[in-house]
Amino acid sequence: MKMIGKPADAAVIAGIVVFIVLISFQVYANRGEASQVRIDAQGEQWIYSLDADQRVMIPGPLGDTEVVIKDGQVHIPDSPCRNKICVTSGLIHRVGQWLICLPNDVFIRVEGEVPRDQEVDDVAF
Amino acid sequence: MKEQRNLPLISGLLMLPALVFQQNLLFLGLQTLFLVMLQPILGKRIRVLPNLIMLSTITALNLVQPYGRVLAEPLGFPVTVGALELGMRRSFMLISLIYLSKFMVIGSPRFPGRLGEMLSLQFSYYQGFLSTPVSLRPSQIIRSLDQLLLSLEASDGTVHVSRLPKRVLMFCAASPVLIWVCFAAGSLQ
Amino acid sequence: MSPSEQYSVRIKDVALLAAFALFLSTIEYVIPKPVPYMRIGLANLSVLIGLTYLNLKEYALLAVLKVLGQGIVHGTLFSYIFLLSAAGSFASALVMLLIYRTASRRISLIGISAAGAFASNLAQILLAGVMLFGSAAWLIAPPFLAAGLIASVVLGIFAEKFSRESLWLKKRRGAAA
Repeated sequence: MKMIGKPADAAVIAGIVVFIVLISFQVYANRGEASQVRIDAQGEQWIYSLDADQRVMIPGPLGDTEVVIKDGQVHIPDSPCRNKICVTSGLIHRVGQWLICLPNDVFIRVEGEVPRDQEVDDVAF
Repeated sequence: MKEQRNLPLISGLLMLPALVFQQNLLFLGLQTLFLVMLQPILGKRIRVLPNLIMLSTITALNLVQPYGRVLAEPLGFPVTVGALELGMRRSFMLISLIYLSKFMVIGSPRFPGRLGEMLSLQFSYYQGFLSTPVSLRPSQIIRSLDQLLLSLEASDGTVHVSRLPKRVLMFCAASPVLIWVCFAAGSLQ
Repeated sequence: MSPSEQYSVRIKDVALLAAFALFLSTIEYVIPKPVPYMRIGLANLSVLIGLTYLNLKEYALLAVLKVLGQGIVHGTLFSYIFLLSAAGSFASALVMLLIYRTASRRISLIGISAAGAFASNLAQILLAGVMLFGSAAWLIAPPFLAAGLIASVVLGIFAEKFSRESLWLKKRRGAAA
């Protein structure tokens, strides 16, 4: 049988194979789970991405607690509770940080994969 | 005659914005259902499985990015209302547009201009390809495709156009009305 | 006068090749596939053939007719699928043209077919991510690209053989010379 194909064919195919292997690693192995904001209120849960700006109203026994996700940070600008501790708690963004409004039964936490360096700190406290 | 074969195309173009700008998921679903059901009415078969595969894969892949209230969390994977709605919206939109397109080309419409003429010529050759038997046996496939090209190049293509049945024309008129009613209902909610 | 009489032989060839592409994609449509969304890209055979003897303008026309024709016949002209198909076909046609024009001495239709399919699939994944699947589109990228590579190499081998053995092409190239 006559040889078909030329030298550069192999190069092109090899290049594509390398690309597929690299992208497989990127997609499957090294999939750094993006951080999420998980909100618990009265037995129900909400999940939002930390990367997309968002304003949501979470219903509680006293009324709606307002939760704002902006520039990768979460805070509660307003809440129907009396002491407003949640409002004064400020901004959270790191995995494991949380905000809570006890009177209105709203619990907000940032979840995701903990980056390596941060993990060490947590274990060594 | 020439105008008549373009009627489904025009009717479809009238419906297009009512799908693209539909905000309400329920009514988008109804519009999709109507456009799918149009196929058997016009004498074409619907293939259910490919549509279900499209619906389920597009929805499943959209669930990967959670958004909104958690409905259930089987095996630690959160199924959220927002992601589910987005996935269903995207699948309904795709399926409805595919069936709308199928409806639009039902009369083999004539497209304007030089490109339109080229398309007609292309379709006449295409008819030739379809009406000539080809051997797909591996040992002969090159020979037989080659023969096909040689024989078609010699042929002089003419397009066969059959008259559109009455009920197709009826649906050309009725469908845009129905689709726009769904759009209006969806906007009111 | 019938429509086909107004055109030169070469322009009619473009329509013939475009019809061939349509015919091949119809064959592909009826072939059962193990995985939905898997595409063999049979229609690319006609573009590969066109590449070897059409001039730039005719080649571009072939790509446009292929995309429009498929959109009309498969009834996807006004859907996302049409945009996906158009983006894929044009990306592939462009990449194949560039490679053929710059390096046809060192590369055969096999490598060109592989590169074209790769460009097409990459363009489609990017667009599907934006329109249909969200960022999860990358989850299906590796198997999609791998299947495309295998199919395109097989198609490239076939195209290479076809372009050597085809009497129709021989006649065409003779007429062009």
